[in-house]
Amino acid sequence: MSSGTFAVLGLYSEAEKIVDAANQIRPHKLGRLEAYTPYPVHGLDRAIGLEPSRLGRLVMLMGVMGAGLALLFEWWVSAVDYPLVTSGKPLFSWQAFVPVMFEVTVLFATFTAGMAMLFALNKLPFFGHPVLHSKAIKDITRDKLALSIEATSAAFDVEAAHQALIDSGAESVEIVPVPTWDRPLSLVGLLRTIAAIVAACVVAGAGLYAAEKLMPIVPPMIHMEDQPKLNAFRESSFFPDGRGMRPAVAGTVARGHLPPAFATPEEAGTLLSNPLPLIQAIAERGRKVFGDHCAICHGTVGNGVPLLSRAYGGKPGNFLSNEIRARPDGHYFGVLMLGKNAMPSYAADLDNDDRWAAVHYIRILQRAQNAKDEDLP
Amino acid sequence: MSAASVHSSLVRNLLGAMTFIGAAGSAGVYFSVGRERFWVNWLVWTLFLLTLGLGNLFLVALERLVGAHWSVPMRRVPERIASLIPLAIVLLLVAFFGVPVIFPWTYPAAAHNPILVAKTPWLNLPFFAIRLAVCATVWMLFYRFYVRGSLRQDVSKDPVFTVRARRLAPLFMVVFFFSVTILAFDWISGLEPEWYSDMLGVYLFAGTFISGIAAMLVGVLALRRGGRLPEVQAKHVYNLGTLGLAFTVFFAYIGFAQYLLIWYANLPEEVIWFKHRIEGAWQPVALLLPLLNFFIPFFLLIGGLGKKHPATLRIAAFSILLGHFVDLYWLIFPVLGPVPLFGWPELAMACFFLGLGWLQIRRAMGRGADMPVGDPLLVKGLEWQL
Amino acid sequence: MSDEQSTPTTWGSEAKGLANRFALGSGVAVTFLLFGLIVVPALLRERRPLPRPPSDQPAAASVGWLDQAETPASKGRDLPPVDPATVMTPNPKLLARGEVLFKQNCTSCHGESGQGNGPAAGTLNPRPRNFTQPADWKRGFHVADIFTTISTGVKGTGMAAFDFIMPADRMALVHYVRSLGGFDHGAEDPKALQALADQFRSKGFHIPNRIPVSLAIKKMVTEQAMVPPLQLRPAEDKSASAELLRFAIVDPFRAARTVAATTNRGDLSTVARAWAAGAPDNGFAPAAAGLNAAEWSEIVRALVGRREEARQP
Repeated sequence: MSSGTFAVLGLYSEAEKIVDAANQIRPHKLGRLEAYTPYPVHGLDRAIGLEPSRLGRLVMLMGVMGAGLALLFEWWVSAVDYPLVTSGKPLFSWQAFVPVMFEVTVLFATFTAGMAMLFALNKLPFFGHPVLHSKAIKDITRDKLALSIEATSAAFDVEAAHQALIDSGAESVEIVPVPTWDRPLSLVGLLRTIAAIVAACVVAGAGLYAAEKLMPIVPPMIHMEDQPKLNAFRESSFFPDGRGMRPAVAGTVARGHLPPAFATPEEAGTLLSNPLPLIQAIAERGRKVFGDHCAICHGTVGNGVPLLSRAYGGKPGNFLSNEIRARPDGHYFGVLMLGKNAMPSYAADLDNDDRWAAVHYIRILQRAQNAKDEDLP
Repeated sequence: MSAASVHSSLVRNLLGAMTFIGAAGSAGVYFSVGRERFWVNWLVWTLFLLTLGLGNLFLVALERLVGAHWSVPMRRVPERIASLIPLAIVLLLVAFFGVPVIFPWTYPAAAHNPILVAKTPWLNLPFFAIRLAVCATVWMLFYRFYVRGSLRQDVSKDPVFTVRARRLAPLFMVVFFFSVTILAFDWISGLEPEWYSDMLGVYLFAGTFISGIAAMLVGVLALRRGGRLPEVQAKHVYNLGTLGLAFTVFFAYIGFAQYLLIWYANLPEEVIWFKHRIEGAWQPVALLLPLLNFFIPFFLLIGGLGKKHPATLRIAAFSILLGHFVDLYWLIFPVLGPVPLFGWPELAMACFFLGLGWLQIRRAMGRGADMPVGDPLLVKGLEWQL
Repeated sequence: MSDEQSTPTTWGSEAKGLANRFALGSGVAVTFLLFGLIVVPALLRERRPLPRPPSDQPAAASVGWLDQAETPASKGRDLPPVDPATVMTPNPKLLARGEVLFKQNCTSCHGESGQGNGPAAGTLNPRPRNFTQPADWKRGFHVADIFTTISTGVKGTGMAAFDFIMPADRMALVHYVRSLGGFDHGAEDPKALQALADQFRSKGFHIPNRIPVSLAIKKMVTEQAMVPPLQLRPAEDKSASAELLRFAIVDPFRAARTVAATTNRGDLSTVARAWAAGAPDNGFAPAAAGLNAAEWSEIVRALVGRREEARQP
């Protein structure tokens, strides 16, 4: 019988009595004392011999750890792994890290407080406390206060505990047996859980679907869309003429966009020479300009096979043909400025140095596709 | 004549002597060291006394506002410290003579500074005086209402006053925040009128609040030690320590928020103020601020043990009080130059003001009982359980 | 309580236990599989350093075979000469090849059926030839004439030289173009045909060497002769020519390149016009366009002389 006892419960009506009873019973060391009361009773924690909670120290430790980890993490992210200078600040700017450190400290501390309280100190999860199955629980949740002597070993003396509680003035005493537990993971329980999850998914999905179909969609914030900004191709109320795109001031020319001093590409060929030295950086710039603007029609290698042939159906010039190779640099520049046949002018899209770099690059392509013997590796 | 009263009059005479020596030293500062240094010192110590008084008045009103019981047995302490308010107002009125000396917006050169010209509607002497007068009047009115009313209640035992004090508390809160903000803008920001920070008012309020709590803590502990507050138990002081802990964090938060925003935006006109205060010779002083106002009190008070021991509570409270002085010193003294000045002029004026303040509090100690015996909430406060 | 202890194990409780263990075991197995097959390999993969191209190589070299410009170098070769007998007269195979080539190269201007109405025709002046109208043929519609036109293009028009197409393919085009115009082309000139046949017999088609563009960049950059910047005289030099040079030149480096590239272009007025036309990109000031002939000759004398000086060791 004694092996099947969880605790002996004594019921009291007044807070002072239970505190006195606990103080009276505690020295006998009959078993672990525990109290169940419908409201907090001052001094009861000391009376049943509860030690001060270790939670505070744990929370403190984890909070400090959170602050340290956050600092370490931010230092590593912003100064070691991905050093990116932001608004001229040093890579290790502790000032900017403080808000995150603060948040992580709070996160660690609160999670530690919650989790440690529930799982470490309150010993969750369990599926039902034996006292919940006692007869006294109805009184405990109403107006009675219960002191329980819990069995901590096989040598627990039920009779002695019973007598001690009666001696201390308990109104009634109940022996709470160790309940017979169900298996925590029963097949039915598992299936029910899965079914519940599925049902929850179905309900949530259907609800969301219905909400999306039936409710008008309200954009959460439209300030970003409606901001009064200058848009080049829209009308604007800011300027009196209503144009978003501003014309150049009368009598001026944008830097790098002087009107050309030649009328035809041929004339440009006789007049101009490439002012840029052919160095690596210029070649790379030319490669970029060519790739961005020219290759789509003239082909990656400049052979006039367009990347966009199906959509365009054109026959762009083949830079590798003898005819075009023989033309001077200025001619290419002139074509870029004035356009030729179906090719539009690129006067507005590129600046002069871009054009000259592209000319260099065309020469490089011609060399690559018509290399000298000594060029071969 | 009993031994206690002999002791008491000895202390009073010593304090009087200290004040007198301080006053003489202050006169020496004014005539031999320089008017700027004199007035800057004057301003720091006046604001120190004023914020201690206002902070404690605020604590009284806060208790009334939220209907707290636990602090009722201790309430006579903040009410007595609040008696610094009339003294500090007088000192502040005297400081008005120093306005043309230390406030650049009063200099003739300000007429050529476009920023100061733009701020003229706010920064002009008549309006400045009006603001000072309004704030002083409001503080005095509320001081008389709360402190004198409470003293009268000792005799009359009239519960109506408790109700009225509570009804007026919200009004006091609003007026208090506005007046402290004006105090900060006028008397601290005004020293460098090209700079501005919206947060300085809240910052000064946070300093006022924690230094008020610290002063109250010191007073309660001293009275308990002298056996004059036998009914106030460790749990009451414990709760006061908790309040102090919470508001050291608030102070650190506000102080750092002001710094972080200005540091991050890096606008030249704003950041220069901090550059003068956290770089070079001022850097150690700036480092003292978080140490005294946050780290020391925070780690002393965070555990349960620290709040139960009077020794730790006292260290934390003195750390905050010293930190509050350093805070005002750090806010105001950099106008004198890039090196923190601390010598005999500062000590002499500290003697003068501390002596004055102490005498004033001693004077207030004689009025009324040590506990608000007429307050109907007192019983509840004594029975209060942590 | 003794009843509970002696409860016989039933089939149902046994099955429940098995199911429990199975569920637990499969959960553990799935977790381990997830980690073993996805998370751990992914983490290992993440730890591998990313391949990085050496810094002296252009970045595009790393895409290798994806980029047509970076195909590996190939040696040029000569295709053998074409047997004239296979191309001089149309045959179905040749016409089929011609149709493919026509669609690729010609329809954008000359149109699908050769009527000169391709998508790009509207942009051309003079407009493209209409192959179906005998009157439209300006340069002859005989075999040799058309071959020449395709090979060399027509100067001053949009017609480019298609010399990069192999001769046999050009002949396929010739025959296909002729088949578009359903009119009588008349008799061929035997002499011209003979010359064309001789040309085919004598010469093959050369496919040039090809190298990756990054290599071509390297070659051409190393071959680049650095032109030293023009030494403008110091500001203290108040002589007229020094002042003039300082007025006319904004960028001594570019101006040096321009001078090196254009001084041999002919007479003074041509050179001066060229320099003014390229300004300011070529290093000369746009305002230099307003200088008069005497001033230009002064500048040219100073610059060319300077360049000659610079060439002296």
